[in-house]
This record gives sequence, structure tokens and C-alpha cells, in this order.
Amino acid sequence: MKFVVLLSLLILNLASLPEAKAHKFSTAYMEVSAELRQPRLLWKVSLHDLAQAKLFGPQPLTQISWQQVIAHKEELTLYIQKHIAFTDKLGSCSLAVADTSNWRTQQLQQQLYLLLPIDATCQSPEQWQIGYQALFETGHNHKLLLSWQASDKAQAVLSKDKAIYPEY
Amino acid sequence: MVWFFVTLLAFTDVSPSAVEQPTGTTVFQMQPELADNDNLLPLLKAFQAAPSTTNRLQLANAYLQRARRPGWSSYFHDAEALLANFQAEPQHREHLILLQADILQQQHQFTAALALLEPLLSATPHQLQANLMAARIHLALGDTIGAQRACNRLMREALFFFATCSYEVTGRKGQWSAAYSGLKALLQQNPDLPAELAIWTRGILAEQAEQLGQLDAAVAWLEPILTEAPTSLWLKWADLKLAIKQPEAVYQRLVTLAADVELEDSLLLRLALAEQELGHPSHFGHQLQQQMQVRILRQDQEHAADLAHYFLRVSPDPQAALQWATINYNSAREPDDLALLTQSRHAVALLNGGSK
Repeated sequence: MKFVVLLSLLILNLASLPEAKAHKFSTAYMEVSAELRQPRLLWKVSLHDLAQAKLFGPQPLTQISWQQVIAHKEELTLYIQKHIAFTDKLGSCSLAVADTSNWRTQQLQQQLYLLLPIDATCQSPEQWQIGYQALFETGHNHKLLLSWQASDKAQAVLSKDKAIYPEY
Repeated sequence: MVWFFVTLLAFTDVSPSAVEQPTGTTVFQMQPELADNDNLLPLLKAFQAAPSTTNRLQLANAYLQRARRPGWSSYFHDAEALLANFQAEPQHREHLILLQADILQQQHQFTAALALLEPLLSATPHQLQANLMAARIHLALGDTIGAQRACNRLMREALFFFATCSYEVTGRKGQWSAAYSGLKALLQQNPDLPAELAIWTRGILAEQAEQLGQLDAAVAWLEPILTEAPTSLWLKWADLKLAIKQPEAVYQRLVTLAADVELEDSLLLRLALAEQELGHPSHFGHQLQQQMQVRILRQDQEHAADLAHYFLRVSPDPQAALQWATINYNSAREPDDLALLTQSRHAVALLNGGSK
């Protein structure tokens, strides 16, 4: 039975072992509040998740400097504008990511999060709604825990299957 | 679902760390640091230098293997990201399907994983890796007939694999004693197995010894291979050690691990249990509580075993434990999943009996 060693053991590991029973869950947070009748968003997102979505370059990273993070403001802005939509009764609101001097970091659940303030400019203070499609393509279990502090106060969980809040 | 009403604001107020404004020179570690001689490094460098299909698949394969080790499970997401929307040339498709199927089974999408393997098995019925993975998935679904069918396809070309695969299925059919004796004999005939095969075989033997009530023997199968073993076997080892009242060993081993890597929730839970049983102040228990709050807020249906264990063993709430154990059993039906469900039902029965 020595022939077994001739087989590809690297792939064997993958094939024969049970599922790992160990998983990291990708979670981001969004606080939506109102200031001067306009929405203000604070997106708390794991730096690791942003790196996996290749927002800091196409190659896998083992470490990153703050300088590298803020140097990618344009990529992050484009990504946010493509994957996060804010609308009001009259249509789309524009989104602008705050200046990098207002970006912060925070440790949440032993992970490093980037805190990105985002200003929305809407035409109407009515029927605000957020649509969230970020990070689902690179993290199948990614979810957004939403804290809605504008008009009605509520919490919601947005996922690939339920990516809009509130529903009118 | 009372637990869902933990508010997000309340959650973020649970001992949040300070908000910081880093300076330009601050460097953040994105993954656990790799040692200079880590076998991932050359694959990573090769892919960075030339992102060919071969280099991509080899790196994804290495990520998936590493992700099974304690503290490295974030590499599942790296593998997923590496293969997202990726199409391989015909000569690489078989390898890509195996990797994608493994990712799906990690996500508990067992039926989708089997569907992905199906055309590959139709075209090459004796394909070793595809059959071993199919057998594993059938066992996860509690389908011993499907698992045996996959093992049988290996009979002609890979006898050791056929035998080991079949002994695992035989045990799962309830014939634990026969399977255990047979597999022990097979291991004795093959004393110099490569590490990967020894881990596989000893993991099955540990389960069989446990099912026969031989907990010390089960631990003994695992201890020689634990350092190189996947997280699932670390969990089995920790649960066995806790069952034979040796929390100190669990605490020492996992606290050492936690110093180097960020523990997955399942391992953190065993560390918190050991901490609790030893009467230490709740450090890891507190971390675990925060993790579980997020898991509850997320309303996940996948990987619910962690929550069932939490409400059964760390922060007792039998009704909650039963709810999560039931959710878990709906997707995974291995002996440990059934045991968790049974224990949760028992805890609820005790609660109801006690309140009368």
C-alpha cells in the first residue's frame, strides 16, 4: 500500500477532511444619522475585508501602512459609489467620502476597522433609503449591521439577499 | 428570538476600543505573520510575480489548507476572493472544481458542492479527490449510502483510501466496534504514513473511540498529530479533554495558540470553557460574549453549532441552545451535530421538569 505516498497529498488534505468548523464572519457596520436635513453615514469596515476586495491593489497583502490606506481614497470612493446607493423620494443622492484627515480606525472584535464618514446630498428629506452591495462578491457571509438614526430609529441586518433598508 | 433585540448601539458600547487617528507610518498586520520558511510565501510570491492559472490555483489550494488550521480561517475568504468569477482553461478545470466544491462545503452549501462534483465524477468516476470529498459531504448530510458509493469507486485504484473511507462510513452506520478494529489494524499495517494520511486516519479513529466510550483512547489518537491537525480535530481534542476533566491542558494549549493567532469562535469557546472550569477571571469568556452578540445580531443560519454550544455550556439558556442546535442540525448531520441536538433537548427537558 506504499503507493499512497505517490498521490497528491496536498490535494488529499483538501478532499478528505471535514469542513473546518471554524469560520471568520465578515461584518461591517453603518450608522445613518441626519444633520442639517442631510444624511450622514459612518461606515465601519474591516481593513482586511477591503484588502480582500482588492481595494488596496490586486495582490494579496500581509500588512499595510496607513499611508497606503489613505492613498487609495479614489478607489474607495469609486467602490462606495458603485456599491452603496442612497436615495430619497425624488431619486438618487450623491455620496462623498470625507477627507482622509477625518478617517479613523477602531478595534472591534479583535479586528481592525476603518471608520469612513460619508456625506450624502439629497434633494428631499423624505423616504431615505440605503441599498448596500459592498463586499458580497469576496465574502459570501458578509453582512452589514445598520443603525438607522434618521427619523425613525431602528436596526437592520443587510445581506446579499436583503440589501435595502427601509423598504417602502 | 429575544437575542436579536440587542441593539447595535448597545453592542458598540460594549467595551469598544478607542477610535484612533493613525499616522502615515503606522503599519497594520492584515494576516497572521508568516515565518520566513512558511510554505505559503513562495506560492504567494510566485502568484504576485506571475498571476497565471497554475499559480492562482496552487495559492488557493494552499489557502484552503491553511484555513483549516487554528487561527487561520480568514484564509477561506482569501481563497474565495482569489477564485471569485475566475474561469480556468480546460486543462485546469478539474482542479478549479475541486477547490470551488471545497469552498462550498466550507460554507455548508453541501448540495451545491455535490452538484459541482457530479459532472466531474461522471466524466472520471474514479477520481480520488472528488470521491473523497463527495464521501465527506455525504457524511455531513448523514447519507451513509451515498458516502459508501463514493468510497466504492476508489476500490480498484486506491485501496488504502477505499478501506479508510469505508471504515469511516461503517462507523457512521453504527457499527463502531467493527470499524474501529478494522481501521486500527489497517493503521498497524501502515505505520509510516505521511503526516496528511496519519491525521486523516487518526481523526476517524478518535471519533470511533469516542463513540465506544473510550475517551482516553480517543485523546491518545489525536495528541501525536495535534500540532499539524486542522481546527476540527483541535475542537474534538478540546471537547474530549474537557469531558475527562482536564481543563488545564485545554487552557494551556489554547492560550498559547491565542497569543499567536486570532482564535476562531469555536476554539475561543473551548478556551472560555476551560477558563470557566478552572475558575479564572472571565477574559476569554468576555471576548466570546462579544463575538456571540455579533453572531446573534447577524441572524446567521450557517455554523449555528457555536451558538448552541455557547447557550448550552457557557451561558446556559436551554431554549436558545435547542433553537440553535436545531438550526445547525438542519444543515449538518454528523455525530457531533446530533449529540449537540440531543444534549440541548435534554437541557430543555431538565428545565421544564425543574420548573414544574
